[in-house]
Amino acid sequence: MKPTVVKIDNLVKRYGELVALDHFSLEIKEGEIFGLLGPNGSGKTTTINCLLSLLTFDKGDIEVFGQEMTPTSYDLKSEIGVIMQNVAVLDELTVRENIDYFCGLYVTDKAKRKALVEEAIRFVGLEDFVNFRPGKLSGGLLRRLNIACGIAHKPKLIILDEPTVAVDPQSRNKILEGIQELNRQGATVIYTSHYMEEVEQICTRIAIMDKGRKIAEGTKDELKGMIRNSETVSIEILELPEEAKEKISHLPHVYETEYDGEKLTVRCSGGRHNLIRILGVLQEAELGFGRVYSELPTLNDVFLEITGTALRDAKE
Amino acid sequence: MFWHNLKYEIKTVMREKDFILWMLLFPIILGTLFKVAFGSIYENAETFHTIPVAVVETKENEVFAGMLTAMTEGEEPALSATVTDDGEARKLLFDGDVYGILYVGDTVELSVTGKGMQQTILQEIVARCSVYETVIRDAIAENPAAVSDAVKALSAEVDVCRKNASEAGNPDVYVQYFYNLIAMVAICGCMTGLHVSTNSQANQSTLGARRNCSATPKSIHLVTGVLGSAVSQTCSMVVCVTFLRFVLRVNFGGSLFLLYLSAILSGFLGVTMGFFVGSIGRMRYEVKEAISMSVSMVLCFLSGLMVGNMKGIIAEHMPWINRVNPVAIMSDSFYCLNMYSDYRRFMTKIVGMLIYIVAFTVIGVLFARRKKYASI
Amino acid sequence: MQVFKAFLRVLRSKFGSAVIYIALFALVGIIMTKSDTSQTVWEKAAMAVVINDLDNSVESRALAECISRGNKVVAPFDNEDDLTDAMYYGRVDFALTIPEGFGARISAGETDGLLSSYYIHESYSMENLKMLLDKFVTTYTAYRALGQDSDAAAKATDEALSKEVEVTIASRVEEEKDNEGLLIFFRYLPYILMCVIMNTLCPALTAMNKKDVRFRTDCSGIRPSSYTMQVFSASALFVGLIWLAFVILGVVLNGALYSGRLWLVVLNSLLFALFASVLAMFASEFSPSGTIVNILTQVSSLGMCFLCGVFVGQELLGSGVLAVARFLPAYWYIRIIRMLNGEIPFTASEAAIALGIQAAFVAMFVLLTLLVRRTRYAGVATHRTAEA
Repeated sequence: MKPTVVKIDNLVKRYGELVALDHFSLEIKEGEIFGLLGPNGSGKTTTINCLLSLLTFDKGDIEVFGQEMTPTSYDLKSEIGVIMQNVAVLDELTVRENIDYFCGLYVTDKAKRKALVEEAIRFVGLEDFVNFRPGKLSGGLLRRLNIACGIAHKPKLIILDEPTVAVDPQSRNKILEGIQELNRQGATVIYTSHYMEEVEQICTRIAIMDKGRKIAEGTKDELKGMIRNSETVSIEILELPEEAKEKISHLPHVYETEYDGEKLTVRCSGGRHNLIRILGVLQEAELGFGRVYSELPTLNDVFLEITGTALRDAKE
Repeated sequence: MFWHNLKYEIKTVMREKDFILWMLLFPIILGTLFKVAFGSIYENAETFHTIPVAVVETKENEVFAGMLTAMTEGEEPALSATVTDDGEARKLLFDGDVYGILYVGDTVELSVTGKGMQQTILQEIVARCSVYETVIRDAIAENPAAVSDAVKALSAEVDVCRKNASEAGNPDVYVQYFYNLIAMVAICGCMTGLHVSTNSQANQSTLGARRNCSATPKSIHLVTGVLGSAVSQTCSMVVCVTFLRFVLRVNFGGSLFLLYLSAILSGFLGVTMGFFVGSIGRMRYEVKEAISMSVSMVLCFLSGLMVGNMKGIIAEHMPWINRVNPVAIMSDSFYCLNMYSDYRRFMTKIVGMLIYIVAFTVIGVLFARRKKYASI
Repeated sequence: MQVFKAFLRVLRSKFGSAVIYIALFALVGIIMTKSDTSQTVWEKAAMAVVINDLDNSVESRALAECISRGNKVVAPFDNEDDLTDAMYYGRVDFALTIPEGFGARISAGETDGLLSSYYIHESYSMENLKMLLDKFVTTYTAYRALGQDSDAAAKATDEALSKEVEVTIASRVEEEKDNEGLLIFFRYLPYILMCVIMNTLCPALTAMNKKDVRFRTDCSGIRPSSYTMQVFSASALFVGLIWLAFVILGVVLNGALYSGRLWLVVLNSLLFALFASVLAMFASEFSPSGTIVNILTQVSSLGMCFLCGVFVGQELLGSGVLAVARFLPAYWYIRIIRMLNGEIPFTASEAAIALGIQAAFVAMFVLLTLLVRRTRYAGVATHRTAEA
């Protein structure tokens, strides 16, 4: 069994009356890309800040690499790379100087650092911008610099707190590929985001958070397995007699049928051939229809089913 | 790690061009304005110059005539008299061309428009005439035979007092405005010091949060930050002193090397004071900025930046303020270099500054170090 | 009203720092008022003297008595450095040493080199001292010449020298002098107003002028003139409150409400407060950072106050300096104070001119601010037109 890298046990953090983290527990194994998914304000960043020993907390234990994390655990800190939600670089230094500066906070050997800095620059694809000041970089490039500053020292544990906010698709893909590459090279990754597509794409294990609590945890398939929904069929149809709708809702595996006058949505739990059976009912009743979609469950469905609110709606 | 940090701290502060420009321009502009405003006040208004006076004679007065002659002769006589009529004399007085009008008859009377040392001296002349009359009257009553001896004694040219001018440096009191200007530039270093603590604290900046997560101890971040700011402040101080001394030719007296040293230390003190304010308490940056700036200006005021004799007034009523006010310590160190022949007092001031520097740094680091925050 | 309200909210967020500035600078104002008189120390009529009487004879005591009349005798200092400090800062004009044997020598008819004085400034006080000492010695010698013994001569000298001489104060018209303490407070107010107003208003205005906020406002339906008017009125309200705080502080220091011509000082300070606020508006058009605002404030306030005679009286400044100062509003502000203080003659027309010039400065900076707004943002406007 792989060793535990991060262990959070029963963490409670309050801001006055507001409970930001409510008995939150987590265990992350070596080599994982662990996703913390949740709407804004669900407690992701607070968890990260507690983990990094930046924030005080009211209750609970945090262990990193099997040791207690404190503000002066410099040995532990040297194994961690942090990429903050907001870009944290020095405006007065160039791209290369910034990476060298932050890398130098971990690596004292000059020659070794030089190689690491160059590697980090290549890794994030900023070779053409090394002498630029941060103020001259576009949003995406700035994010990449932010990442380079956090990973240049080759940490064993990388914490990325929403690194793709306000980033163009091209840069976003580059960032996500980079994270997977770092993981392949041996780093354990903690990735927080409210973009479920990203989390689904790269994370090997995911915890879903809401209102300071962990509401589910597992691989994406495990998470999807937790809910009834296994397929959602949507059909554009302008006329649907009540009789036909009734028939559909009584088909095997169908547990929910919705019709809004334009689109029929049918949710099914498990089973095969759901789509064929539904279309069969429509054909039988000689009803014309437009486009047909069949979707597998997403993390949004998981969130929706557990909390009763869609993740997308819960964001703001 | 220490040198790596220091290198980048220096790079960062030295590249804040706007700020550096202003820190350099600020003493240059104010210094030039001070020079324009005070350049010649001491020479013109403080040191003795012949006092112009109007004399209106209504009747001949031998005693006064003799006295006036004695006082208007010589290389730099006490008086320069314009003998004229009343109307003209009043015009001269109101136009500020003379300090007073001496009406000479059997007695001498003085008319002035204000109260000042020049007028007091004129009053002294009138008093002397009156004393002369008293003595002669007494002589006639007591010993008429000795009247001529008394007159001789009264009109004798005497030199009663040996004058020993202090040999210490430049006595121009207006130079103290420049001492205080240097001290003000130094204390403004608190703005860079304030940035050091802001940039190192996770609850005040993301940069601070990132630094807190690094493997470098926070105390190293803080100390190198202070040193980096001190380097940029040193540049400001050197430019300031050089400009005042060599471009504006302000005569500071004393050793130039020690003047630079003292100015650089003052700048260091300013930086550490800002660092100290930034490290304590949980106020927002703007509030800390307001505290540092307004406290600095109050300290400058108490040291005499605005009202020159403030330090003297404080020395009389609450001398301890001058001993603890860092700005007063800075400006006093320049003053000590100028006025004292030995370095005893200068050294006390230097030690005072060092104590402040160490205390501010240590307390600041203790407050800011190992900190976890309740909220970020 | 939206901009007006929003700007007041921004100003409210600066309230904490504003209170600190107001409190500390009010303290400065109070200390200035309480500790200073409008006459600087180097201009005082009485001398402050340290007398070291090593002789302690009848003559030396008579001389000390004679000097102490109308002058201030300061107790000798423990060490020379303290004496140097006191003399440098004008708390002591000189130290007079009456050496041992002074009585015997003067009694024997000697007149030269009887005493020694130690001083720093070759000032008028030294000339005054010379005359005083000469007068004492010649008078004493004259009485001795009359055959009096040393005791009698010393007594007679003391008596002769103690007679007061009358001096008439000439004046063109009867100058009315208004409440001096209050005038001192108002004299230093330009510096305080500039510091407080610029340090608080500038950051708030800069926040409103931030590129993104400005662009967003420009995209909205509000007319630029209406926007500017609303920002101006909110600033005016804020500045008005600061000004009022100091006017009330003036009443507290004065112990009574303003009356008669003193209202002119209040109006004078209002005009200056307006000037400080338009200057802050002008400066904030260039979006300076907080630190630069601080430096800018110090340079402009200290520079102007020194040049215009706020700290060091106009009467001491050279004519060249004053010629330059005429182009600054604080010069005219101080002229009003000087008129009311009886330093220069008061005439209604002169006062009106001084107030008018200050108002003109306010108007000029309003126009400059509008001009800068137009030029600085013209690039954006053209760009938008081109796109359209």
